[in-house]
Amino acid sequence: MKFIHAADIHLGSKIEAKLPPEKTEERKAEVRAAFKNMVEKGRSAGVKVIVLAGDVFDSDRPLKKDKEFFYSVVRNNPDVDFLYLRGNHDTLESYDEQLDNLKIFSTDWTSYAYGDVVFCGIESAAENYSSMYSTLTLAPEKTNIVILHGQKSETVGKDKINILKLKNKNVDYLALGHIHSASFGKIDDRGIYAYSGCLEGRGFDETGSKGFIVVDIENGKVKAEFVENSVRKTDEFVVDVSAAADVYEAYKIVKNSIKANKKDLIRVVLRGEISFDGDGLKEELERLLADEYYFVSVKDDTLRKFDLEKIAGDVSLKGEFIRTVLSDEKLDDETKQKIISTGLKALSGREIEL
Amino acid sequence: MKIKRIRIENYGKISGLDKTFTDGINEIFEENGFGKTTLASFIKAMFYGLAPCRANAKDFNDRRRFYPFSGGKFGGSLEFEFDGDEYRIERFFGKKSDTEDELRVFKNMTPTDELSPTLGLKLFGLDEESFEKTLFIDSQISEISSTGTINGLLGDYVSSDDGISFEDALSRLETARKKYKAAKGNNDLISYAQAEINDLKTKIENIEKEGLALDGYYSELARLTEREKELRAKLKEASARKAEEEKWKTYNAYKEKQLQREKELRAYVEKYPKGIPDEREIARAEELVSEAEKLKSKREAAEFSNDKKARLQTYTRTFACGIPSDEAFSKLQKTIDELSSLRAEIENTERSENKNKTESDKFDSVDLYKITLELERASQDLREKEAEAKQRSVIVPEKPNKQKFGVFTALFGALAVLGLILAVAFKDNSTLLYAGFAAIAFGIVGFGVSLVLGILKSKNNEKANSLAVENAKIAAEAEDLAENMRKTLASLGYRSENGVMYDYAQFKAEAAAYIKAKDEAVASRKLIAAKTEQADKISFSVKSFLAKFSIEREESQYRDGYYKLKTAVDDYASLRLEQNESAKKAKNIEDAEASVRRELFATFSRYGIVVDDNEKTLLKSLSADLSDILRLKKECENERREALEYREKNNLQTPPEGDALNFDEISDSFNACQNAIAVKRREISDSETFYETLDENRNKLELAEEKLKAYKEKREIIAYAEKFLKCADDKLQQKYVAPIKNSFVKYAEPLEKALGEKVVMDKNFKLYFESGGEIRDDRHLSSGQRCILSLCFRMSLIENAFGGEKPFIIMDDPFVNLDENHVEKVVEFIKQISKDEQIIYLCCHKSRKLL
Repeated sequence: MKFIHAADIHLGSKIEAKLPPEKTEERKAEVRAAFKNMVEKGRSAGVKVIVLAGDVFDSDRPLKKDKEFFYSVVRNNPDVDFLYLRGNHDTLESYDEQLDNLKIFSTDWTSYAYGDVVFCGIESAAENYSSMYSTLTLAPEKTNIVILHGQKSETVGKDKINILKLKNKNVDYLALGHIHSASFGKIDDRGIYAYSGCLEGRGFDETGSKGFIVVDIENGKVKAEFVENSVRKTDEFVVDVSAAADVYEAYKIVKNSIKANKKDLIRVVLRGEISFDGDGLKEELERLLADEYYFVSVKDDTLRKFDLEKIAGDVSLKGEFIRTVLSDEKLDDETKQKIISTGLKALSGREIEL
Repeated sequence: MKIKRIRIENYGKISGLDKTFTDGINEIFEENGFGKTTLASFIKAMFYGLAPCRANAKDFNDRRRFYPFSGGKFGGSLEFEFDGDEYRIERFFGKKSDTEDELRVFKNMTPTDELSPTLGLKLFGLDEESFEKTLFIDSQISEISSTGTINGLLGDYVSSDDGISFEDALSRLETARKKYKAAKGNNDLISYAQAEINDLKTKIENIEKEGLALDGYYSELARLTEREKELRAKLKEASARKAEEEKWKTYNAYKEKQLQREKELRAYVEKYPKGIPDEREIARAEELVSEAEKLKSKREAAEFSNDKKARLQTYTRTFACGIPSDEAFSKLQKTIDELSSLRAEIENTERSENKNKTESDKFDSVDLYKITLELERASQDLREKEAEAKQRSVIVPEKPNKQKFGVFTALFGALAVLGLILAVAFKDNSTLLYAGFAAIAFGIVGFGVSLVLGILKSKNNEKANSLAVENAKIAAEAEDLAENMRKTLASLGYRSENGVMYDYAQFKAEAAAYIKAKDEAVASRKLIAAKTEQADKISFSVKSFLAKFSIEREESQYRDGYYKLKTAVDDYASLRLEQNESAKKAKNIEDAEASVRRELFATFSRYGIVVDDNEKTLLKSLSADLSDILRLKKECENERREALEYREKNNLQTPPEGDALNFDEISDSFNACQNAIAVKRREISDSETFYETLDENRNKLELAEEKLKAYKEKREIIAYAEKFLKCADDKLQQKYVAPIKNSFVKYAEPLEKALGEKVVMDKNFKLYFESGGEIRDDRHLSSGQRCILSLCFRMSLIENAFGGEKPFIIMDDPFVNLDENHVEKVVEFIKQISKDEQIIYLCCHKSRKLL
């Protein structure tokens, strides 16, 4: 038997990447498309069950558009069972329609059996987060899939999953939701756990490959494989541009450092000390890279490189200015450098960048 | 710091030079061209190296300028003492690039790299340029002082490299800071950003309110959805009841149809109490009817027709007086033929007469006899006149030609005159003379003869004219006669070009023929009358004969009447024979027909069906009724079966009882509810669409807040920069300017007398001097005065820049612009400072010698 383990789709979620409005809308639609693509891929692969381990919707009160889309996908794929366990984001009003192929869970353990494979899940709540480990009973002869939503933890609590407490509970596969990056781990000699991650990165805090996990159960043995599914990838690259002599060289260094596809969303964090005039470097690089990726955001964390030792040694106003700034004990180095950069521009007769 | 020794291997024009230096003044007094500047450059190069020659550069830098003229290794060594240690610099240079440069530094005879590679900077704390402006004093100093180079040197302290003063820099910072936040009003970036944030916050607040309102919409939608569910259930129930009733309705319709068919069948049973013939019997009856009809038709066809009967009766009446025999017909035919012949003869005769009459009818209207007589007389008279005129024409003489005689007379006369002229003109020429005489003679003779003959001829003419008059009269009379004849003949149609006598001959011949034809016509009319009488008698006899048999014909139709009579006789005989045969045949058919009808009657009688004359209609009716009965039986069976099947299929046990739900009413409520849901959904969609802009606006707010933060941060940075710049300026003044100013005053004081003015310096190193109780700009000073001030300033700089061990000073003939008086003062001044500092002084004129 094959099933899909997915979670944290966050339909209707805010797109965090601070995209322009039209791209924000497009990305929201792409989050829905990612869900649709997953279902279609699952069907093609002969999947009969799709486990949704929480946070299908981003909000307790999803927008009608997102709910309609989700329920339409479920309704129009009647040969696939959707096992939908609510997470911390969609605890209240997510269930809208009663569909035969939409199996839901509650704050009590609920099971669905497919031959020898049993899917068992519980929604975390204040009244059950402590007891849910002791109330879980799984038949050892079955292949047991447990579905939970929460943060892996060594303690117990609402929206917390204590893996240690699931040891020797006959769990074969623990399908988890809550963490937006895919990861796998071992529970005990028998079982493994996995976070599928989200289907689509929505901001630069959700970088890397996104998708779902296809779990193949054959003769009681569980084999799980992550499948990349995102419409676009979001990635962040920290690039040291100290070697650049000008903006174009900085662009070349950044371009060579980015390993991404044209359709991806890129965040570039510039680091290092630059010796050229870096005013407007962020905007300039964003413009230069704009046509090469779906969206590019540049964060300029560079410092200006001055031959402070030399200038500070000058018997001049410049030298005295730098010495005065550097001698300040309250300001941090970054602020000092900015002050020096600004002051030197003024002393050089250059425009003070606004 | 003191330079102890230098060794120039090759540098410019100097090669293999060793030079030792002592404390105090080291004067190198040489003439121009010795290489004093080269030596000064060598010392500087030992400490600061030589800049590489840039590719394509046009500048003539020191590496290019001092590359050894005579070749060899470019560079040398320099030994100096510093802070109690002895150093040796060995430095050699490539021709163009510094990559081939070699530098070795020894400290107390031991190689060291503690000063490498920026020796000068590390030793003096000055870069090369600053070194040149402080410790390396050349003739440019006077130019500096005279062209404001002092201000330039001061710029190292008070201005940036770009010539921007403290005030300018501060002004720029202030302007930039005010762009972020103006001192008054809101026309600045921070205010704009703050306003944008306020707007966005208001907008977000409204969107969030809309978000809260969505709860109400969702509740209302949920209530409507619940109501829809209830109504859907009711509708389902009502629909089921309605469907049940519809099913019973359908079932009852089946039953109703079945009953109707049975009723219709019962009507047929009443109509045919003894039953109805089956299809086979009806088919046989139809055959019998058809057979009977055929026989009837055959019988009727065999019977002597009324038409023929009528014809036979007519013939009987026609030939009541007897039927003409063949002989009678033969005689009648001959009579008709004879009559035809007679009529043909009469016609031929009449045609011939008419033809003759037509040919001469032009004479019918004239008196032919009288005209013939008159014309005969006129023709005789005409012939006589023509004969007389012919005789008279023989005796008429020919008329002479008078002109001919006149010409001859004139010619002969002229000949005589010509002869006379010749004789007179050529009297000396005998030949011409004789010819003249001959011409005269011949002319005179000819003239005379011609004249006589002319007279005679004139008399004969008169006689001829008299005879001609008479002949003309006779001719006119003949012409009158001919004209009269011509007119008469023309009126009868005779006029030709052959002459009147010819026309008269034609007339005469035709007139004779006319008279003859008139005679023949009279005889012919008599003959026609006789034959016509005979023919009319024959015609009457024929007409009378035909009339006996009711055949009325004109004479021209007698032959047709003959044939008609003959045909009637033949037809009469034929009809009488046919009448007998028809009677026999009809009797046989009538017997067969009666047999068929008996069988048919027997069939109908079995079912009590009364047979009327129209068996066919009856049979059709029977057939239709039978078909209807069979159909009704079948339909009845089908209806019964379908009703049963429908009932079983729909599991109809007992009809529903009680009042049914009002389906339409529920349906209307359901539809209204669905419409309300649709409206609510639209409202929610609109509201959600608006609500969805929350993230976008929050993003905008975040960006705006970031922007504001950045603006504030930048403003703060600028404010800090302003603050630190002011602080630096103050410090600089306290730290450098004040000591320099003090030193400057110290150095300048002994020179003030020489200058004759009191010199002062402000905090920006700006120099002024007092004159007449007023502070004046240094530009009022002479170039020499400013040269001295520049020297003082440099010395004050050196004094303050090098707190510990003072460095050496290289002076490359700096006082070329000073007069003797000033030089003297300066020499004293330098001697004073040389007590503390090593001075390498190079000059080329004894007036500027120090020692």
